[in-house]
Amino acid sequence: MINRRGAIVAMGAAAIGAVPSNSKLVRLLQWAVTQAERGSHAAQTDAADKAIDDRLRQDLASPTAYSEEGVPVFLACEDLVSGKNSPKANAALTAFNATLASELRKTSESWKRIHLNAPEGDVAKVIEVLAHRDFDHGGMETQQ
Amino acid sequence: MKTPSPFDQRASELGQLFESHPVIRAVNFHNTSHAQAAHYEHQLAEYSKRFTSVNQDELVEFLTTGRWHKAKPGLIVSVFEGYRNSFDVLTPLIEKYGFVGWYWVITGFINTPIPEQSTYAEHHDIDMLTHEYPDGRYAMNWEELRQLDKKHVIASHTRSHTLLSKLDPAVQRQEVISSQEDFKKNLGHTVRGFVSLTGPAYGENPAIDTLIDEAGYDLVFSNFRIQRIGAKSRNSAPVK
Repeated sequence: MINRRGAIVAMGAAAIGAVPSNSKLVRLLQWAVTQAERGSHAAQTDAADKAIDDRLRQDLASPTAYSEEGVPVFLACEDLVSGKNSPKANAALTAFNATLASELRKTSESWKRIHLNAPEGDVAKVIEVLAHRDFDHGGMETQQ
Repeated sequence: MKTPSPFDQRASELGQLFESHPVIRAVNFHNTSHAQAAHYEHQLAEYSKRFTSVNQDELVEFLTTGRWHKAKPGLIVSVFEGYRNSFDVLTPLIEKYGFVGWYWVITGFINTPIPEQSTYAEHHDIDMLTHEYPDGRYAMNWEELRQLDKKHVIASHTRSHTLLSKLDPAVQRQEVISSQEDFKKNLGHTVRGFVSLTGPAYGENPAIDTLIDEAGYDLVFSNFRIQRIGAKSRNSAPVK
């Protein structure tokens, strides 16, 4: 299925090929195609954001009873003794690290869309959401 | 250019932290009431299918090398405060499902006479939603902690569960160092782990860092980090 923006891009591209390349019409069509492509990308982004927001809202529908349940968290490990925490860590990093960092970025953006003017402390809640998902689904990494 | 909000800055910092350091999972328990036992059992049973235990030596190896040698990812089961129901309710489940409990103990809670424990808890940010013990003993006792010490990890959650940064130096000292002395006196050895209320990391408060060093703690847990700092004191615990 092709949407309206996709149809404009396709028609525009076909039209550009059918007229002389130095024509004002070509430039106009090229501009129209670029705008339509941008619009298409924005629409895809909007849809992706909405999916992330919906999932986050769903996660937040069940508040955590901190005093009465085990609360999952992630902890970054630093070896301050050897003083080589970063270089050494790089050798041992896995797909889990990249996935966790990426999920934190995306979910933090979503959190801000849902909670305007979110305070700094809310980042801990974002991490908690990610940890709940990870624990409930058996880990977001492929190896550790 | 728009200045990032404190939320953005914190999210960015933590994203970089998790991207650039080995990460381990933990689950934090507090007041583990009898009424919720079935829930805890379900939770730990599910976790045992996907994750495995972490003892102190395994954590130190992971901190040192960044490598994890067991087939399943490690899960640190943290049990905070020193509630009696953590011994009665949660510990049998932790053991049933093959985990190692990390007991973060407020030694002042343990040392408080039984008739005063409920009031002590209410004044030290120790949640008392459940009042399930008619005899009034809500904290573990040292005998129970000695039993746990044989199979699990005992560590310090300060002496009285207060915000260290807001205390006078003499009281900070009592919170950090006297807690370690309580363990030495009652367990026969010092402990390696330390975490304070709200969990600031080592390096955030030089005065408290000095006390942590002096007390001989080796592993500092905080909200998003575990730091191996290297015990710098003669009080240091032997590797156990």
